[in-house]
Amino acid sequence: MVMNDEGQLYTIEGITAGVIMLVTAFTIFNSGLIYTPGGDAHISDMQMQQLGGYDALQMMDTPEDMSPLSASPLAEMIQNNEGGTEFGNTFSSYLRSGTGTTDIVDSLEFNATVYNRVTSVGGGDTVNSYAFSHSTDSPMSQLTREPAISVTRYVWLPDRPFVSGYDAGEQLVLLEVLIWRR
Amino acid sequence: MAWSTRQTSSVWGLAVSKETPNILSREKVNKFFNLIPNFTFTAEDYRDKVIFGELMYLYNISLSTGGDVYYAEGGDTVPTFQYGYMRRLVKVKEPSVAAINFTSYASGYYAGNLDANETSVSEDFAVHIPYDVLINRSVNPAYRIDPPQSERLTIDLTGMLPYLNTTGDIASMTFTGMELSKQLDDGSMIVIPGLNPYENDTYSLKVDGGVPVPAIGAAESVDDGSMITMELYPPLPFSNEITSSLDLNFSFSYTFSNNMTPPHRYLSGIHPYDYNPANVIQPQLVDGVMEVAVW
Repeated sequence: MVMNDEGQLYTIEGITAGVIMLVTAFTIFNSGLIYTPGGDAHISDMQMQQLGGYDALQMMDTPEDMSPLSASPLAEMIQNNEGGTEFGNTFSSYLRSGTGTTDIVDSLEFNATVYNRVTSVGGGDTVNSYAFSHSTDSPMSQLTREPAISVTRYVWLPDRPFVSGYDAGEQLVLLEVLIWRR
Repeated sequence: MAWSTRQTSSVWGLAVSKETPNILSREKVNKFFNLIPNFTFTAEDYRDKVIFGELMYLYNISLSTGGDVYYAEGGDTVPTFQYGYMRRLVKVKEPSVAAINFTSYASGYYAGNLDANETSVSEDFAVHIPYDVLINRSVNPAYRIDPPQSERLTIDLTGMLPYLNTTGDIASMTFTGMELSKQLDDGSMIVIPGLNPYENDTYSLKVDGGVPVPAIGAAESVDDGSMITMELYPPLPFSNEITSSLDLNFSFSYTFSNNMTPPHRYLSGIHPYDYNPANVIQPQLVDGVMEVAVW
């Protein structure tokens, strides 16, 4: 039997491999995960989406009171077709609200559309859409605008809005808001 | 920048419940921004528990709501550029208050009658907190009165003397303290002992908004403008036993001048702490915005 140190080498290699695996696992579990949806979404777009889409619409879609079927202010705005007035003012003020610790560049513009489903007697339902609201300067800034982000929210309406092209009764509509920087 | 996006996405556990991520609990906000006594968050705590990261980040955390702006302890002035930043819109859930102004009730509603010949009496007025009514899963968590988990209950008593003393027969009225009792399933009551310390983690009892008074052995003279404020801090006693309920008994003693007017009146009755807006000012959601800058 020939004595050699191969066994020892394998052992050292094994231990080294183990250490490397542990270090890798440790590094992975200790690193911060940066979540970037999509490949080309910019971080500022994500912030815009969070603030405008998620937060502002969620604020407006919070039920008005504790009763189980309480409609949200947003639902009422759609129902009363107050896109130009109520929705426009509230949404704009949400977009530019801050605590005063940082400078907020008030340059966000938006354009909101409502989509609703209309049943047809002979079958073949259609989706109806109409311009709901837009920011004051949005028509003129559209030509030069930066790429817009789109946020959507399903809104429950206790009854049909005072707009033509709606089924009767309670329904869900889709509100889409495009937001971009001027 | 992405850094703070991730950190604030859960709004740091300040939310009222998991289903309502953007609605912050007032109790948690008070703790986070050091607005209550006996509890302090230091810069070190914010770095360890909130910001994480091995580098010594500088930060500025602010919350603006209802006309006030709160800043986290140890924050620095935000530089003009090069900082990670996130802004979130929130609603702060302001807890419910039972503001009982006796003069707004009918004359016999919360009053008992004492024979005109008697000249003194000691009687209780009770506020009844039924946990089985409050802990109601069908109420949206945004508006649920939630004493066991996260919310204080406040009871304000005002207009006691003007309500009773319509004929001017009350020589003196004194608030002599209060006790908490737990109602058992069979309807019997047991008094919760050990209320001697005051302004503690359990409750704060104040008369006219001044220094806290002990619940047992108080002797506060009640006049036309007196206000008694009782705050119960979460978690409320026995609130994990959702079929039980809690009674707060406010004790008063009266002396009457013997002017032979028909019956003397004293405070009596039970005020329910529930979801009826006539009894309790319900929780309100107030708009706010939270900004976080880290660099």
